[in-house]
Amino acid sequence: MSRTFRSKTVWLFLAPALASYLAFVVVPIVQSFAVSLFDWPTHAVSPTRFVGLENYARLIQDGVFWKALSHNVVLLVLSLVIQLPIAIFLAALLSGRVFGRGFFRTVYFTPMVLPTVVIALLWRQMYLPAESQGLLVQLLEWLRLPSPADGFLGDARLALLSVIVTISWRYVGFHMVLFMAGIEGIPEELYEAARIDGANAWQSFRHVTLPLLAPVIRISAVLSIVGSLKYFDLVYVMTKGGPPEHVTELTTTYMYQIGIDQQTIGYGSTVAVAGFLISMLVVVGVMGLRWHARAAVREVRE
Amino acid sequence: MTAPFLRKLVLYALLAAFVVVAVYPVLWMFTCALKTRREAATDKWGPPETLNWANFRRVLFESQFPRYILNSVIVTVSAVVLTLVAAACAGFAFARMRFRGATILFYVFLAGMMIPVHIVLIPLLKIFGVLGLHDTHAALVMSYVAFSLPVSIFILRGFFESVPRELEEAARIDGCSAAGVFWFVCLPLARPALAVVLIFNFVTLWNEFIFSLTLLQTPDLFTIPLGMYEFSSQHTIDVPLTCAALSIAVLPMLAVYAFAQKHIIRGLTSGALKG
Repeated sequence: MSRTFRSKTVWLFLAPALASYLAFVVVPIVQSFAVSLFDWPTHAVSPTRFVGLENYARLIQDGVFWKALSHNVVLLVLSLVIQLPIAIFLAALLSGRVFGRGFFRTVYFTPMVLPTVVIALLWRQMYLPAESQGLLVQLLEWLRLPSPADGFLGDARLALLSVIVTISWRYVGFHMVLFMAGIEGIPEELYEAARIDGANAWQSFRHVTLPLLAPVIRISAVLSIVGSLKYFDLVYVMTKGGPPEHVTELTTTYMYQIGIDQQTIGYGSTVAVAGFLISMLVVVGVMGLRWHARAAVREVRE
Repeated sequence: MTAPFLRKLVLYALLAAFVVVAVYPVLWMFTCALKTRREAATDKWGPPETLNWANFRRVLFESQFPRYILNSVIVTVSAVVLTLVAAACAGFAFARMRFRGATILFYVFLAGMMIPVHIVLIPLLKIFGVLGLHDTHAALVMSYVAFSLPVSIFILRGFFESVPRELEEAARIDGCSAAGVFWFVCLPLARPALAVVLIFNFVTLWNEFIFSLTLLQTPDLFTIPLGMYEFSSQHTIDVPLTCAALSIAVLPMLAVYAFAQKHIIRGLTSGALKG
């Protein structure tokens, strides 16, 4: 009976979505690829000459780009290492009979509904150096611990890590909610059986919760990995890729600086295309993992 | 003291510690906003001595902030509604109609969920320039719709597929057209899925930054996140004033969250999970 729809009707239903998606997603992507093959200097109205892959040759030798990419990798790894264990820990804490469970869940999730700009500006205040009475520097002094003289974001060694801490602060609650849902899906009998076998809390967590949570952990990891590669907002507002010397530069902030702020359109597009290709490559790689996860979910259900 | 009691104590101490970590920055922002500049500089941590609303008054009556809030409402509501309409139609087509290229087309949409927005920014600036929409809300809304469609279509298609075919057949026998089946049978049933899509897009777009940063130049058109960014760069030294602006920027969303946290958490997580 599905066949009875005439093709005119089909296209009528698809037209609004298709038109918008083609015009503002598909066409711009194709254009970016095309423009990346041209020399299009700052403030020129149109591309000046076709240069083939010259922009890409320049990109390969661009130390800043590689530095930015390495920061994306650091962000990716540290996000996984910081966010997921804390999120699993919190979900496990909240998995038993806890008074006020809903309250804690709501509170931990709150950073997810705040605009990233607000979070960035707020944490920038907290990271300020001692002379501007930065909150966290004062806390360290009060604890008699060494603190960075130029504030957390002014310190080349700490800046990237500080930004990652803020990003983690935002996303931990999100992953926690996913894990809470995952833990709820684990049959109570398995814990019962573990208890009869004499398992303590840690053992039943280690041998029941963790293995059965594996599919959700994979999904969380995929979301976190994909997100790390396109991350932009917080870093742009907090540091703009600085303080000088690109110590917190990501591929996205670098692209924005060249392509939008400086209006170097040809090379900016090249950086954008490179970032796009790298993300897509990782997405495709990680998709295999994801299908694996889907299969695992099915196995658990059966 | 018994062991279970001790365990409870540790559990709640840990949970409370994380509450402090999650909430203190936001709480600090509100208290700081109520302080005078001198008080904020001398006593950073504590509550304000007296409630000083001057900063809030300045933000609300002497800055562009009310304008930013209005702009955010206009842009977000238009984009969310347009996305919902276009995505519901397309989701229905993908779930219930057979046509050549359906699978490929669906995957093309699906890929949109993974695309980093940076790849489209430079061309979009040019395209909107050509369309005469440079620096307008229309340009922002169109970009928002295009980038919200993939997730929305995906969620809605999944839902429409789960609507029993018998219902549809019954409606067809009663003489319903395709549009009739869609409007009278599927849409009313899809309310929960529509709510997820609506919430996910609303929260995401209300907080959106990079498109507005790129596409808008006139301060009169700024949305809350962009206006906030602009405001803070003009008032870097006046911390309490900035905090008042930040508080006003988050209050609408926090108020909605307080009343509908269950729906928002579900909307945001299932939206992201599908994506």
